[in-house]
Amino acid sequence: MDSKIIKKEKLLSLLERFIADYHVLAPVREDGVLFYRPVDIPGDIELNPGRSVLPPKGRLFPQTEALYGYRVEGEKLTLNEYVEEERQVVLFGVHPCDLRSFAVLDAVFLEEPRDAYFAARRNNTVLVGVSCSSVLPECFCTTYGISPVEGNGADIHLTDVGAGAYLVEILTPRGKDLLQKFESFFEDNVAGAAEAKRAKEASLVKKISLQVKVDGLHEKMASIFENPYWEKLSRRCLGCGVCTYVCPTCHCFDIMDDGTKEEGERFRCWDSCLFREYTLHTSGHNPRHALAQRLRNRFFHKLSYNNQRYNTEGCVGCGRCVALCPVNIDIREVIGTVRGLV
Amino acid sequence: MGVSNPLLPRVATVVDIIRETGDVNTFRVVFDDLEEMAAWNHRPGQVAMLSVFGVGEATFCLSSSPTCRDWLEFSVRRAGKVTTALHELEPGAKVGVRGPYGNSFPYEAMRGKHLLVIGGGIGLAPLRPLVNFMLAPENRKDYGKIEIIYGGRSYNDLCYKEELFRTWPEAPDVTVWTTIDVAEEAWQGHVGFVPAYVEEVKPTPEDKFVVICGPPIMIKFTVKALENLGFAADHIYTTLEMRMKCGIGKCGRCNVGARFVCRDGPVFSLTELNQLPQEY
Amino acid sequence: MKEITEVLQRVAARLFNEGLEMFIGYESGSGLAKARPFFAAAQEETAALVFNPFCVHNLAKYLVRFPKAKIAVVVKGCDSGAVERLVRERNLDRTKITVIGVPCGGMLAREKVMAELPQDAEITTVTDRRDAFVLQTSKDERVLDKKAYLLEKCLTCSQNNPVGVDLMLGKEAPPVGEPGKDPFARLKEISALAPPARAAFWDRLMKRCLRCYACREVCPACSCTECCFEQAVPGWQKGATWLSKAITLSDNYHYHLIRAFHAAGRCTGCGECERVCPVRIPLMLLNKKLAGDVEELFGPAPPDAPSALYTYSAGDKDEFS
Repeated sequence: MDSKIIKKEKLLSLLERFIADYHVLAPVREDGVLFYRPVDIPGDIELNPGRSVLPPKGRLFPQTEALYGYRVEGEKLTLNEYVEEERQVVLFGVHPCDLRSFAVLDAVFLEEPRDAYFAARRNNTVLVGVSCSSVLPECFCTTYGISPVEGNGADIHLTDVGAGAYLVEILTPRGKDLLQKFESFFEDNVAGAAEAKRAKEASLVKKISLQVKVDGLHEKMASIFENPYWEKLSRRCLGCGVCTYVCPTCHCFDIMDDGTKEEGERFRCWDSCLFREYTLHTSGHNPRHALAQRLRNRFFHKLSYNNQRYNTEGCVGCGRCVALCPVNIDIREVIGTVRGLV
Repeated sequence: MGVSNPLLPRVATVVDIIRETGDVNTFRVVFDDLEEMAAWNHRPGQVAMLSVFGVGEATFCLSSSPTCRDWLEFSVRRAGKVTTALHELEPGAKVGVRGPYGNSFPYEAMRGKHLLVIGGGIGLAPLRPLVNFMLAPENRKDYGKIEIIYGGRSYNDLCYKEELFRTWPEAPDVTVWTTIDVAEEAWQGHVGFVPAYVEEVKPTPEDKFVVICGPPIMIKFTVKALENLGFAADHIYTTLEMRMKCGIGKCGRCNVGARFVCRDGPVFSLTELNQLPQEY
Repeated sequence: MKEITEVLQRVAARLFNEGLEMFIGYESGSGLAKARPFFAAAQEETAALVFNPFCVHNLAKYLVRFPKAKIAVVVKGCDSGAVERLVRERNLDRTKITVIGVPCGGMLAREKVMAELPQDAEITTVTDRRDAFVLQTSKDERVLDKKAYLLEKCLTCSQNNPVGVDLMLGKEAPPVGEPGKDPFARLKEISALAPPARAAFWDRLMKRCLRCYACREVCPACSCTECCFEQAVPGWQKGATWLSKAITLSDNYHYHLIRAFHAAGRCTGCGECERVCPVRIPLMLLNKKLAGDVEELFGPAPPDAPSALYTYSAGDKDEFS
């Protein structure tokens, strides 16, 4: 693996070049809240962002996405497929947990038959990872073997190694192309950068407040489906969609039409398994009519089903649902409780 | 994206609408592109997505036999948004079709065996392609006797009357029992619910597969009756209905446990169902 | 806050002796400076109950989930109006509910507290010293001046003592709101903006909405069994809904404005909608705006009357005639 160094001022001018040559999506602070937004000015970008409210998954799987248009002219009906824009997108500032989430989403969307929309966006996105600079109280990525300084999944990955310098790791052929294209911005790697990265990792990992263990969890999940715990847990659940919408691995969607009988488009949008309407049949029958069933389904999806289907963990330990649940339903606690159930 | 976009329907035309009951129509549909029509292949029990543009898309089982190469058929009960819009269509209307999706009845494993078909109301729709597939001249020799027990609320609620009262009974080695829930003046046949009729008919389990579809309550009591008659859970198959949006295992909502009904179903054996959470 | 917690546990335990089936209160949450709703279904579970300045949740809405049970609920000053409203609108059977009031010294803004606490500290005790909360941690003691650390809504609070309760725990709390601080100050600022600037202000916020519906689910004024936004539109497109699921600026406005109108004159000002919003849309601005409009149009609501938009009188203002 190739690595380089980039100085902070150079990074800013590189971002300026990115903005000229690509669409750039990067973390930006709005009223104190972090969002991934299209940016025009490098100075707007948070270089050491921290946790965004919404994960960057929206770049690959937007909350609302038009799929195709339809138009009726006389006897003829034509469908007009929407195609991803030509210009590549640089998704800047993605942290290791979110980088892992892209692999979780890949397993779903790129499984045959591939989702053409996701695949096109995926193919058209250059991923620039950034190591974490801080650990928030809800972070638990290490539970899933993720290091807050490793960029697996990114094309290139940056780690702030102090003194205004970033260690740049080139992780894919696409990353290599990018490096070649913008060679003048980078310097040769220096002694000590790798050590600084390791030291950073050690200090970050130490700050993770709750060490969550998941061994034996899958086996346990299989036997506690009917446990009264789920009903108890659901008592305080509001049945809102916060946990699902802020989750980097949630992928459920609805497909709907917007238009008249003559002309319009079909779109898809995020949906949440916590919503009553999600599984409601036209007949009025609802396979998961109780909130307890819906909440249980969500945790089973994250902690068991995803693993059964795709052999990857459905949670990446980003902590967003923990931080943003209005009534403190905490997946770390759920994991702990489930492991202790008999 | 072109051909590789599985969410993009193919434009098709409704060529005929057959009125089955007061609220069920069978839509006969042909792809506008004849190559699409020739390339279409489904297996008995599979589903497809039918679109009315401007209204939406919904999942329906294919009710035509895979051996029919000229058109596809979907039997649709008017209930919600998309089905109501479908019922308002007239021949010549354009719709979208994508699929086929899901697994099928185990017609390979059924070779050399007898088949018992039990249906209630519109529940005969997913079973019909299996019957007609087996009755097709090129396949008939591969299968044994076919017994059909079918019921509806009233005579008017029975679907596929032409096949039910003429084509199937007249075919060799096919027996059809029909029943309606409540007696009617003109009805000479059996009166009573399907599960009770199954107990009366007393089909034997030897060398026989069973396929069931109908209202959940009918399935539940029929399964009990079949178990009493000695049928094994791994020889009883049914087809599940869940809300589906994508049909290709991405949108998430049709899961029952770790299984997606659109990919791993809709057909499940009773053995498989017994291992899944009761969330369907 | 140790005393109030102990009293709360004792009262809850006693109520179970008297045939109570469910006690809705608070327990400590996962993480520092955090509490969460707690449902004790038996006497032995009451030991988990707590009360401290992190008990921000309004628990009133949970009552509608237990229509038949003999139930008790803990309310703060800003929550008690919601119970009253739900009863008045016949969503609750008041005879089945024991309302337990806790005089409130204000709720702390967790974010601000977290920024102050030393690493790895644990909060051992919290004391209310009228102008400040004193947090004894495992490492040191922190005096958090209320003016600086309370939730914004507490600083303009005028109802920190619950009303209409069956049991009041502790004596009346002194006012927590800062004298002279106008609860409508921000609203006035926004209202004073020129229309394009005001539109820009709201567009930017409304664009952010995820329509996770946390605001609706938590809102005690959103007490409909089925929300209009999930109801089918009658007529030609049976099964269509009033609101597109697509996230567009106009659909987001549609959702929030209709919801605010439905809560107009009924919102009891608990501010839960704003607290639960993951993208921090200041929803109370809308509710305050409509509360002000209702009062301006129909006058101050008499305490026991149904809300202004529930009634009609020939003397109502009618700008169209």
